[in-house]
Amino acid sequence: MHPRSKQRHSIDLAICLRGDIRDLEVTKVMREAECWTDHHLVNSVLTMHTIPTHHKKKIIRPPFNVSKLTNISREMQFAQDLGDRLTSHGHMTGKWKPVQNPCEGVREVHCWTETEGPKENHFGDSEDDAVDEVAHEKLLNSLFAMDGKTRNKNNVRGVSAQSVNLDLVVHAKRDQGKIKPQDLKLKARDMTDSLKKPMSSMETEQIKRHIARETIKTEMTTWEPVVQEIRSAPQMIFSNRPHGVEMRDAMKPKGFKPRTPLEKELFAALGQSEEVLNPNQELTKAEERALKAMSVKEAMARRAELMKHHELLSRAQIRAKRVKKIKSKRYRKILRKEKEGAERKELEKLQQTDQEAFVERLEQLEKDRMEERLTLKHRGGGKFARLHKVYSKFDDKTREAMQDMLQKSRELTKKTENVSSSDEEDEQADVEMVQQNAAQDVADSEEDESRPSSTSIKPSQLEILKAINKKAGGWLDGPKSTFVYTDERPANASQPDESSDVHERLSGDSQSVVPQGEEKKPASMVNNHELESENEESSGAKLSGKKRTLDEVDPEVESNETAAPEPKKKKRKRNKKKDIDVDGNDEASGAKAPAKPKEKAVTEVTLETVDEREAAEDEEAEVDEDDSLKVTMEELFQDEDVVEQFAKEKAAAEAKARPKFEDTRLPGWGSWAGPDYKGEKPLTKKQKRAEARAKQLEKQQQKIKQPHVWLNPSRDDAVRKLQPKAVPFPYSSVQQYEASLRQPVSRGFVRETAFKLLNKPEVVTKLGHIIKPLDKEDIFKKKASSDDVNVEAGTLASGKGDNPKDRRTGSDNSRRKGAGDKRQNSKASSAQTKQKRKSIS
Amino acid sequence: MSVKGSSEKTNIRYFFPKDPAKGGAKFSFIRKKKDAIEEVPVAENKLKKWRTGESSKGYARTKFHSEKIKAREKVFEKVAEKSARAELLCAEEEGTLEGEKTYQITQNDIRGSADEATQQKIFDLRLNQFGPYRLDYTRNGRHLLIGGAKGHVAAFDWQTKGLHCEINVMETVADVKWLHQETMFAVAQKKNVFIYDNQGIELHCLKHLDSALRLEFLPYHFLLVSAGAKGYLSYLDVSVGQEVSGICTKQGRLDILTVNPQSAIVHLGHPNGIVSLWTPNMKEPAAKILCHASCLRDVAVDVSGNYMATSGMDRRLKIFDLRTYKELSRFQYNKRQCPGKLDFSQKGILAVSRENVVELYKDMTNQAYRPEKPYLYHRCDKLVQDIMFCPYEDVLGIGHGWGFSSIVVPGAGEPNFDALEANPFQSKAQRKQTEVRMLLDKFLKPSKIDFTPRHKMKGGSKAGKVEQRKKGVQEQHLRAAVRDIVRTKQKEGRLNKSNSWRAGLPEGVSSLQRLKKKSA
Repeated sequence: MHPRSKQRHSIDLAICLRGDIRDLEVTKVMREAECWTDHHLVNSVLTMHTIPTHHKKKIIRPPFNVSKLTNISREMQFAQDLGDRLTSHGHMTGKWKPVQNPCEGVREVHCWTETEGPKENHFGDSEDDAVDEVAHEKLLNSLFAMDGKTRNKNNVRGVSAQSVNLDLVVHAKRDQGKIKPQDLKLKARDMTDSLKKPMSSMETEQIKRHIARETIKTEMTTWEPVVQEIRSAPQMIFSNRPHGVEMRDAMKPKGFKPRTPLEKELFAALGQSEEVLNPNQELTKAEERALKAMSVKEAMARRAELMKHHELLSRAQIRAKRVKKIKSKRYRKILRKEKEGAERKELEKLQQTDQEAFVERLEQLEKDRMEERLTLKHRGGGKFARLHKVYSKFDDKTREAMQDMLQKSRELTKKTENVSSSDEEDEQADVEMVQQNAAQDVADSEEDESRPSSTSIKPSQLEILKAINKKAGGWLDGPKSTFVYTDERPANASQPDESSDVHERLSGDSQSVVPQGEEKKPASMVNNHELESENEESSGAKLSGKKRTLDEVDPEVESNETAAPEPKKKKRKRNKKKDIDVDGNDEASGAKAPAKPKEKAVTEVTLETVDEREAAEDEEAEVDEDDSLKVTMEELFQDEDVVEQFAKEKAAAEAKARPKFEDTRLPGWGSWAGPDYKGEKPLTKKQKRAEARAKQLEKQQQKIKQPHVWLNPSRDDAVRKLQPKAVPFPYSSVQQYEASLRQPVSRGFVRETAFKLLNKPEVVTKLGHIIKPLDKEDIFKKKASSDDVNVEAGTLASGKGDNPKDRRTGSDNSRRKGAGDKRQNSKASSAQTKQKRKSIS
Repeated sequence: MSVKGSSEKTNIRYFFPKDPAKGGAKFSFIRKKKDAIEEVPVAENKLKKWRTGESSKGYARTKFHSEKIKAREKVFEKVAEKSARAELLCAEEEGTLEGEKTYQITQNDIRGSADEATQQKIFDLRLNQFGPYRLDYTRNGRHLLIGGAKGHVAAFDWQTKGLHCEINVMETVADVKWLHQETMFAVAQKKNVFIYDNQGIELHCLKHLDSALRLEFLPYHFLLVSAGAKGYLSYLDVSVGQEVSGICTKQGRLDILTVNPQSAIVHLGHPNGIVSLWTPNMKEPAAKILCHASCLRDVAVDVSGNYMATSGMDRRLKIFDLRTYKELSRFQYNKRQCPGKLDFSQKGILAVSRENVVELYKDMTNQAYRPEKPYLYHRCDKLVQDIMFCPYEDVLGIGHGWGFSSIVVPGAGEPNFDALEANPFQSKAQRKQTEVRMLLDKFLKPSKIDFTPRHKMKGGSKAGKVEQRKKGVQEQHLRAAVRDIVRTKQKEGRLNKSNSWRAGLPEGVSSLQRLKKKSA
């Protein structure tokens, strides 16, 4: 709009060809801020295409087949023909063309190549087919045009039926409108050489983009290993990187110059000494002298000695390697046997010479035995045994191996006579006594056997057991006692035991029974053998229990039943338990349960009075006990049945904790019952969740076997809220995630050095240190040069190398050649001197 | 050359410069590569002790992270190795009394044979006016706080016998407790709990800790736990002075309170023989264990947090495993002897009081060995009110009717202390440092920790973008609405089709029509 006239003027027109309109993208008019004039800046965006220039393609003629001229008749004809044509053109002076054409023509006729076929055909029948109508018409037109007439007849439009024969046009142009029959002959041959259609702009664009991408990609990927290394490095020390600031010589501290008289004196004294190592020297003078002093002979001898030593070492190494790789089982077996034999011999020798060591060895053996008994490694429960069990029927070798294993187990678990404890000796003595005197037998043996069990375990044995326990990963010091201990019950302990009352009541309250066979067994029944067998059993059970608890997801609710290693046994035990349940009344009446108790009830130890005064008081009390008038505290509180109360409370709490879930669905209610009726409504998500939770809780509660314990099901809810719901990103399993968090990192938990190691900063910078971008030239040049030498480039990239100085000399070699060379030279020389020193020592 | 096989001996080679007389350099300290110190690898069993768990298995999601994890595992292994090597520094060994009848050894015997420093640890304070006394040691075992039931409260460094303060609060004192350091302590008085500093100046009166009977302090959480006569258990954060949680236990008078030092779970003992375990996160007990068929006298938890000892009116002393809540062993006392107060020492010695007698048992938690007779035996002048082992010392403090007595129990305390954890020889500056560190390391209230990171964008957004987003949301809503309409229409159509044969319903009327509210 014009500011003055307020009339609309179409002042801007971008005129372009219709074909190019798609290249005209935006046309804008920029007005001035005042809108004062009607001259505006017209801004039009055009997409420009550069059309590729088409170079004329050279017409390549197939080579002439000269070998055809060997045929004499053909040759003769060729010569004749050539002669004819040349003569028809008259003189050859100055003009090559007229000569060339006939020559070629003739040659073509006679020496046609295999692909073409004889050229004579062009003049034959198929000539009409070869010349297409358009071309013919054009030819005619051009011929008429030479006469100055126009020929409008037979104007053929459109594309010719045959493929475009551009060649014709080209040749016509080349000869300035003159078209000769020779030109026409060539047309069919050069079909392939026709110019291609120029690519569309989109295609060219695409190609360009593609090329650009490729180049950029190669450029970028060259950095990838470097970047990868930097990222994966545990620490990035930027202050180790060269920052480009150079120390000039002038800035370097000057060498020490003595000033005070004392200093001067000292300096003079030390300067004369030959043992002082000057800063720019590699060796002291004395050392150098020693080197020189060594005669060639000596040096040679020394060298020979060293070489011999090396040779011997390497031989031994090779042999050891070879022996280690031998796979023959037989060989191994022989080796093992030999070893065992040697050991046995050694043991015998030790027995005579070194008693202490012998005892130690025996202890070791004992330990092995215990371990074997604990783990039952060679008993046949292992993977090896399982795998070979089937094959052992058919394969002799396997059978042998199995037997070997069992034999080993027998050997290991066999009680050695040498280690027989004093207890056993006692026992043996007892047996002898029995043989001698049958009358005294009962009392004696009872006494003797009860004694060791009361003292239970000696400290040395205890230590061994502790060691085993440690090996078992501390699982043995759990609630299931490894050792049975018995106690001599005092005479007054015969009165009804309250503890057992508690247990009975407890077992009465909940359906699980805590068998009390152990408690009711007389102490004399527990002899040493039983002790051990029980020991073994319980430990075995414990091991399996360990495995189970490891498998379990929820370790908190640890089941207290001793899990049998195999399900079969478990079943049996369960059955037994049922039996007990059934016979509960019998048991209560005092009959001993025949089945072995699954879990030992806690036996009670009566603590003895130490003080004499107290003991006297106790005696008095015992005397007074007859007075039924006196009421003890426990009797006072016996009325309150706390156990029953607890059971009730527990039941109530459990009922309360159970999520209320009722399936209130009724068929036909709350849903369509018409023709689209699709059966019952499925549970909603909420309902399903509630159901699952209820089931889970019930399971958990079943797991807690103790009747006197109630665990709140929501005790972990507060923490659970904070626990991640899923395994976070880089970790692929819960185990991995937990393992990543297992190590405490704070100062309070680990020692200081470990703390520093754990909390190493990922990036170390120094104040004022310039962090320059990585120099491409530097890195790649070095990589190429020092690939075989070192991984120096890597260390530079990650910045974790320990000797930045060396790196700098390597990288900046080209730039600061003088300094770098100097340093390198010194380095090399130092290496040499080191070698020299070695030879001296 | 290192000799293989003798792995026990440390094989460290040092470089000794050659004798100058034989041509060695005098001042040369160049160490050859071969002369680097060779460290013998740590024995596997030692390493195993310090490893915190299984190493991670398998690969992570990416190769890069797999490598990172692998590198981290290496660091962990190094840490374990360092810790194992540091074991060497724990040079002190615990003491013990050897012999058959150690219980016959009296304190006088010990005083007679022990060194002077130990002799100083056996002493009695005859305070027969305001007893019986309750007592508390600081975490480093250096300072002692005693509180007589009739109002006498005194705090002092018991090793130098230097008195910090001595006051009479002119009220009954139920319990006394040091807070995180020796600068402050809490006294449960008749009605409220008061906090004093080490000069005896009253700092706070905590009125909501009403009629407290027992106090405990959780040093890592800075929580003061009090159990009251009205059955109220409360947790007070002393670093900010807020009550973290107050729980009405509905269990009556709570005069037995112990803390599991490992998990900071509070154990309350009740007159019906039940021990209940509490956390501040719940208003209900986390667990309940019926320990005795009669009234409980005391509960104690050992340092590892694995074992709990209880004593009851049924003259029994029981040991429980807290991992499985199972009874491990049971000890019966003779007639007329009822075990009272209990306390575990750092090394697992259990002190049991019985009227005016204190008995000390060793290895009570051990499965294999169950003592019938005590390790030590001590008789006081009056009824024992409170017993507590002094940390890092072989000392047991006894508060009784006539004051306080300190006896030596060889092998009770941890011989090697961790100065970063509790330093008995702490200076004033160190104390201040530790306080700061403790506060920094304090457990925040778990529910306050913002676990899920908030994805908040940095800075505000441009108006245009806001508009765009709005439009986007509007469009989404619109689309949803349209979708709904279309779906209902489809449904209607389907239903109409299927119901078209029905009589009574005019053609084309939706069957859902009847579900609509009738406006008319």
